[in-house]
Amino acid sequence: MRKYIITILAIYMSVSSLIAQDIDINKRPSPAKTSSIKLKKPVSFVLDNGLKVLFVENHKLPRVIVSIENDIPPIYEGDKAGSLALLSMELGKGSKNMSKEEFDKRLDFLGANVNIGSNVSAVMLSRYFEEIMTMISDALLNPVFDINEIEKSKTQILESIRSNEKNAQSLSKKLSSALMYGANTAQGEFMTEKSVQSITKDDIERMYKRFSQPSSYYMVVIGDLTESKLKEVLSNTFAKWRSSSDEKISFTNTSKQLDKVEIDVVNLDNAVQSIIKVVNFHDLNMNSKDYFAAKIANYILGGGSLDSRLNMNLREKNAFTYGAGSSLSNGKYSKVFSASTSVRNEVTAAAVKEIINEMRGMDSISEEDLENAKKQFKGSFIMSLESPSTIANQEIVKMQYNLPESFYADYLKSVDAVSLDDVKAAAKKYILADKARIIIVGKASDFLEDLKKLNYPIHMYNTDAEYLGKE
Amino acid sequence: MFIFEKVKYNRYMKKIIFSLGLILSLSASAYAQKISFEEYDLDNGLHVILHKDNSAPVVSVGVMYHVGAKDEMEGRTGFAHFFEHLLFEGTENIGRGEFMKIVSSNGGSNNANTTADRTFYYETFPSNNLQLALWLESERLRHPVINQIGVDTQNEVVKEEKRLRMDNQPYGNIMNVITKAMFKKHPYKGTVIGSMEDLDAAQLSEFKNFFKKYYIPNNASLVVAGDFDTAQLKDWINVYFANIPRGEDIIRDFPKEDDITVAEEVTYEDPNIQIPAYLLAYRTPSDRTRDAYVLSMLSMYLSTGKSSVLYKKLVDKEKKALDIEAVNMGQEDYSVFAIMTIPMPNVPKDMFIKDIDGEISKIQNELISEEDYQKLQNMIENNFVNSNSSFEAIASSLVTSYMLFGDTNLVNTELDLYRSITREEIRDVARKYLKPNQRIIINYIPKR
Repeated sequence: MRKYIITILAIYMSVSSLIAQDIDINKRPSPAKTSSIKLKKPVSFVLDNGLKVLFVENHKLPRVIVSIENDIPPIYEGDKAGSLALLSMELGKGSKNMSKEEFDKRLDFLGANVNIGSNVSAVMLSRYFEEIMTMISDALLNPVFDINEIEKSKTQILESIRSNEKNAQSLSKKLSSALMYGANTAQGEFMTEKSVQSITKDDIERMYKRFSQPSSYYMVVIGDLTESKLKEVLSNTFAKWRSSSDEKISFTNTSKQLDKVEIDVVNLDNAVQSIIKVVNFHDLNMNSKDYFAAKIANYILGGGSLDSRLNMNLREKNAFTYGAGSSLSNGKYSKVFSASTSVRNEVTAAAVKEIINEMRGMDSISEEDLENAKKQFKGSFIMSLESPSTIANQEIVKMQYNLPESFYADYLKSVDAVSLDDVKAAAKKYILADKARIIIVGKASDFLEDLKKLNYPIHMYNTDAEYLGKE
Repeated sequence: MFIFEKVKYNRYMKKIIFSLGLILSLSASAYAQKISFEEYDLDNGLHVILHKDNSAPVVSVGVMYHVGAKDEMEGRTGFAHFFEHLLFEGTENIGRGEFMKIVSSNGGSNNANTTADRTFYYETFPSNNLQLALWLESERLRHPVINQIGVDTQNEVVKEEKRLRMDNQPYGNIMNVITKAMFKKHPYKGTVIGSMEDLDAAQLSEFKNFFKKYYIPNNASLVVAGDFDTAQLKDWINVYFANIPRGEDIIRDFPKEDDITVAEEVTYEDPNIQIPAYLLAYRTPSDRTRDAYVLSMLSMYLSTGKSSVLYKKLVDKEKKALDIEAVNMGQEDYSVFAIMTIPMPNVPKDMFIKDIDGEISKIQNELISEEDYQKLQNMIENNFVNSNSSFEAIASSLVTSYMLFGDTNLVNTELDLYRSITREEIRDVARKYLKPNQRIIINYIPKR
């Protein structure tokens, strides 16, 4: 496949002075003109078995980075919750051709960082590429599910579960998913001691077969390599990957959108902060007409920048927190708006009130807010091109979401085209302050009384997502 | 996902130690392809380092000040890091809250961090905003606004940061426990984040004095890495930085630590954990010394990778530990070599100590194998190649090499240094620093 260059012109105003004496050191400098940006296209091909490969040749450093990821939907495991996790732990423990001990020893000797599970990531010196890819494919295609290793992994998982019983961050993640999707669904369930203990070698092998479908995977290779060498190595390794199953795993959407605000509280006595998440579901797609408007709306409210409305309010104005922010995800299986922060227990109610106010207050955004947001989007886009993996990831996103070929070539133009009305409308549509679920993990005795004054229904749950009653 | 994934993939304890990162010096890294640079001093003492690379329209600018938590007064732990926060509050030409907005609305990103040894402020921008980046850093150094509302606000923010990163995290206070245990006289004993009481006690006048004393061009270094035109850049540097007045040179004379000759033990209770962690900690020399490099290799031999001696024995084969990590945490004046383990149920601490001492003893008495030695060299090379893959990382490596190691070119020679270390040196360094009577045992246990 031929590479070709797409040229993008980024247009900036103004020219800065070149002469020292003309510069007023008290004046903020304006940006200079940018040169045109060239968006290279990665090499992209599909193996006969359906594995999609993206390759970016880059000889700056003598290394190769490989990632292999699938886009298989979340699977409901039920009373065998933990099966995929256990499978991931068992993959990469050698193969039918190489003992685990030899495998570990050899990879370490080559100095490589390799993580093999149901997804793979690897960073290696380029001179060892062929050998390491051979080992990785062997481990994935010819796994050994040793009973003793499985028992050991189970014990490790169980210890990890136990170790997290008082971990506020991990409890917040677990409880949020359980409450948002339902504790008996693919996206809401969580492992328990019982479910992990019940997993057998057969269960792991069954799960392996379901996942071993090369057509569900995307491989990205970046680095010090040629296309012909890559194809040669793949023909001896990953091209031999045969699908173990015809199953088309389907996605069931179990997201539970509320129609009015509800607060779900999980008490954790050892917590010195409350972890607050304010969430709602939405249906934004990357090819929605208002995609860019929606992303800009989220950015202004709580996107990565420290000067977002949420951060300026909760951190700089009120000093409630070290940081507050929001995200608007639009993955295939996850379409969630989420505003979150960690605050000292005593100010929890006040923080919740401010978050809701900011979510409601998007109508007050100005042309200046919009202009600043656009500059950030365009600037980040340009900066992301420093990394050779960016263009590969962009190709994958286009494939996965059926985006137009010119989506990224048109990115800067698309950002520029967004109007203030577009952003306000998107905020109304995707950020639902009046239908949000508020999930709080913290020391309830420090904030419950104040929380009641907000006049939302308050539901108490324990750390296993079991309902304890209303407050 | 849950922590077990981190056990498999990220060796989460290393993540805990390194992500708390406040005590770690950024190890100066070598580059398998040389990093070219030029450097010079302005008349006011500001050291300038430039690395030009026009392959992407990005530029990273940073200023490192040679001041950190070790420069704090007694009763003012957390001060240097608190001050770092204050330096974002505004300048005579930048209103309160405007700094972040200027960066983001010009397409950039920025951050800062403080360790016991130094404070580093940096921005990365599309390269057409290089002049802006320089102006921002010069504004901070020339005339920041340090006032009471800034102090009051950032006091609370820093306390929340402490809660978020440490007090509300399982194993979150390990680094603080280590520093307090390992240092009795030297100001490293203070911890970088500080105590709630000391943070509350800090006064506006003290911050202003701190700024006058430490935030001077002759105590700082500017680094620029990325896409620029050299003549234009040097011109701008001259305009924005040359007339900032030099300050008084800083003289340090910190108390020295006494050698540890008798093993000690300390205990700390963390309410966020269910499983204890045990650490063996040894005080080791400055990360500028050759021995520090050898100790890094030693730590890799002990616990990096599944075939490493401690991981293989304790986690994999004998299933006594959930995880085990050895690391030499480097700093300017003293470093700390620590071995940390999280046990599986019903495995007593003494069994670990016996096993770990056994492995150390082997290293002290026999040379590690040629094969293992080559493995370490390959791991080191892999790390180095990957640690300078962005302009931001290169900028940080260059200025750290200069300021904390006294030699900017270390980014290029460090790999050779590692290659010159012999198996005999590894054995000798293990003998010199890792004797059982030279350590502190830390019991980091669940609060009942």
